[in-house]
Amino acid sequence: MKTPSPFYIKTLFSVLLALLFIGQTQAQKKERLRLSVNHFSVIDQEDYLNILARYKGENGYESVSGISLEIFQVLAEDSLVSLGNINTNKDGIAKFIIKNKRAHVADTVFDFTYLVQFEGDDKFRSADSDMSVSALGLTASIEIIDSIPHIQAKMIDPKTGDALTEEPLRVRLKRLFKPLIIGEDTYFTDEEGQISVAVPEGLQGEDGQLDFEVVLDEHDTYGTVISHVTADFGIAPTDESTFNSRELWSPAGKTPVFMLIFPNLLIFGIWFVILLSFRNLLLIFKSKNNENN
Amino acid sequence: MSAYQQLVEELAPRKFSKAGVIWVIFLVVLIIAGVIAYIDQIVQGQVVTNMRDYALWGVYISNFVFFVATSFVGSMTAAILRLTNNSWRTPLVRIAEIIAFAAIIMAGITIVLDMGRPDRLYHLFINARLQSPITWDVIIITTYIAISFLILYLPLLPDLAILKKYYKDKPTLSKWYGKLSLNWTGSVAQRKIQNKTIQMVAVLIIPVALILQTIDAWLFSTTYRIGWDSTNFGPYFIAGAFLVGTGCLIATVYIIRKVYKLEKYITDFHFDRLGKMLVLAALIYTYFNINEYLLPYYTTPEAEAKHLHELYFGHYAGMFWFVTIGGLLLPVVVLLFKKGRAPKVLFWVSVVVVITSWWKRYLIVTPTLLEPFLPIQGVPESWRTYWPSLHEWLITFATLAGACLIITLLVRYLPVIPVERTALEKGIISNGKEEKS
Repeated sequence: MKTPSPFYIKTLFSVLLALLFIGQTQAQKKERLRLSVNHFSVIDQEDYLNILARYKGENGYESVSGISLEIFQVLAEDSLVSLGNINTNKDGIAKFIIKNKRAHVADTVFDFTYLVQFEGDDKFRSADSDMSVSALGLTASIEIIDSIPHIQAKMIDPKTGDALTEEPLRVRLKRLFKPLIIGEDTYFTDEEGQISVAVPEGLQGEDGQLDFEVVLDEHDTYGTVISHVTADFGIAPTDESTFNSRELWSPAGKTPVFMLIFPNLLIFGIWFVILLSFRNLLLIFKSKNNENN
Repeated sequence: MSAYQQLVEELAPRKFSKAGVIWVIFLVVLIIAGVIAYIDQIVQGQVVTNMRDYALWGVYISNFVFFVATSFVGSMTAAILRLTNNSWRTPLVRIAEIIAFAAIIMAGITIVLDMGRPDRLYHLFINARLQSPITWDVIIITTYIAISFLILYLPLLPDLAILKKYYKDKPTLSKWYGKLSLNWTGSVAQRKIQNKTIQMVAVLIIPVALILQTIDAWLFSTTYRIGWDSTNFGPYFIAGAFLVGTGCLIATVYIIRKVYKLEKYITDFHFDRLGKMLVLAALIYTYFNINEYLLPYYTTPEAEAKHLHELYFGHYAGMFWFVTIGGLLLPVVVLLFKKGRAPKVLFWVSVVVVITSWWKRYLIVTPTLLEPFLPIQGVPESWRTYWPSLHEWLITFATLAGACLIITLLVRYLPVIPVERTALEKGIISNGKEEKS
């Protein structure tokens, strides 16, 4: 039998070691987490960050759920103030409501800068993403022009009071699942920073209340800004359903005619025979008495 | 002792033996356990069951379907054999009628047990709509209870009068039999009314029994669900009911014959005939099973294919094949041979048929509910599976014990083989009067 040469053994040993090392490296390789941050400002209500955590998996981008993110506000000279922590949901999304933000810093381009940071775990490397926005003055109101209600909105820079012109705004009616676009898809502010959009007739709202939104969508400087205005000239929907939850099926009035005729014929026909049989039992009982008489 | 007296002596009800008393105690204990579980279910609500958003019908409904199916053949056998006037049927008919009556009573009770608020039972009537299958079910079950009672009670009248005389040494018992016999004297007028009414009810019970099974099937097939959406469901249920009913009849007849030592009246010939009936029922039901389970596999949409795959090879495969082999193949293979139709073998085959038939109803109800076309969102993972809770098992066993207890008590106090008719057929009496020999 031929003995394997030392060179062969060495080569085999080296290959095995290399494979082991590659395997170890593969096992230790962590995924790169990608964080997308959007800033939302709802005028006179709340500011929040919408954060989406994803990674590039075998089937394209996949959401990362259940990871903890820390949110900071970036102040002068890159100093950080922690605003809190939040976990992503099953879709990899976290909505962080900004509560204790500091006043804007005078020597920066943007008024507010936020940093979202992930410290890393067994599966993902650490990651961060920042988002900078400036404050915006966006007001919305209802005006009646020639007996037609109009939604009027105005965009100004709150620091200077200057009107912001040629900026795209959308007007929508808030709905349960998806907002209804009012008028055209986008309106641009005029030289006074205003838009005016006629409200069509026949819009429905709960108890006649309509909740309109004027939206500046994903702006490079201001992020997404929403201003609400409500009106009471909507049409209250009426429940025209004849369904009554206490009933087993559709109402009696909706019973098809054939359903009333044939089953009733059957039921009354069968029960006639049954009652006749019980009557016959009575006759049997009485026939004895008659015989006695 | 005359031949007539000997016949009455042999066929009159008898006291329970020691084993009979133990059997009744056993049934009562099961019923008490079920009642306690049911009270707890009412107090705590149906959360004590394992029924949730997916399996909103569970073991109660499959048990209800089993009772409805069982009630079928008792009445059908009784009606058809009465109308065709076959004399060999005499010792079997009353047992079949007793089974039917007990089963339909328990079917009615079981449906109430499934209701979350039994105190609102009257809502089924005051809010009923004629286009609802639930309403059809309420009507047909009450109708069938009435007819099952009549077909059992009417032919009993002469026998009750005989028992009144037989128990003259026991005045209380004799008085009760007298009252129940409606003062039967066997006069021409009474016989005329009785025969006419029996004929009428025997004819009526056939369409009503078919309607009952069909409505039971339509409760499912009018619901757009995988596995239930079938135009075959009505006849499929009728065929299944024929099988389980015959199985129940054979098992009960065997036990009664053995306990009451009625070999003289219930002979091997009867078992041979019943065995042939069971084979016929199994073959018909096999045909419908092929229609329901094999044929759809060729053309079925994805959801139905998944459901069938789950039955053939998945979670329910063990139960499915147990039911198919035990309930369909076994009776056909064994009972086609004459030796297979010997009483003892036939009894055990029937027991297997009854057990598999019960599980068959479970398989019809549960797997389908767990696979809706549109999966329910945001429910715990445990809701996607179903196995009855202890409460459900206790209540279900109590209903089965209840049916057995009704049968046992009726067998205890009624002659299981019609006395007068047997005497007439044997030529011991003519028209109810003892032959002077």
